[in-house]
Amino acid sequence: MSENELQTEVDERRVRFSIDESVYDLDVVMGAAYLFLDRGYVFLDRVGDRRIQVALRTRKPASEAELHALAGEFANELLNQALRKRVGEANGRLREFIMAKALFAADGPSTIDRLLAELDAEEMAADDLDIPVPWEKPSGG
Amino acid sequence: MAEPIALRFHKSLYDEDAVRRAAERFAALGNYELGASEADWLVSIVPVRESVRARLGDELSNHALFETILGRKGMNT
Repeated sequence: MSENELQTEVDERRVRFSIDESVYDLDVVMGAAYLFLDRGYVFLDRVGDRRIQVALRTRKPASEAELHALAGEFANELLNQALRKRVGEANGRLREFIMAKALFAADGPSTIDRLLAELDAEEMAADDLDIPVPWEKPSGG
Repeated sequence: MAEPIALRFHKSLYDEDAVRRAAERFAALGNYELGASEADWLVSIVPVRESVRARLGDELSNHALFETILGRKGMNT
């Protein structure tokens, strides 16, 4: 058996294996465990500084092959959860980038700057109709 | 008097509140006591009926994990 294969211990209705936390962090292990709670009983224990032991116990009697298969499915789910986490983190960074680009667009003034510029331009423009307004001082003195 | 079921939950993996909530959830099926060692949260539970003994520890453990995961996701029950 290769060193990379899941090392399992099987006894009646239960399969146990340990996970290296430097490969799959606790969030990933918890994510996978959550999906197995309705399939049986899941128990986590710490068996080393960076090792988590997972024990899966079926609700009904199970053969050794079924228990090995269950452990294999859990291992697949670990990979799935790890990938989801990485994609989530990558998407998070992409979302931040898009938001930053939208708020601080580099190719021109922001919407607020454009509006202020338009207002300034309107104030500077001459009033063709020259309608007097009460708050203006009479020009003649 | 019935023998208690002794359960332990490693502190680095299970939240104390989650273990307490799980024990409370099953209080109708057993008289429980909570405790702690240096590394673990401890639950000792005496089933009120022998018929529930086989499953009580497993169900309570599952619930403690469930509550812990919800707590980590900020979705406490």
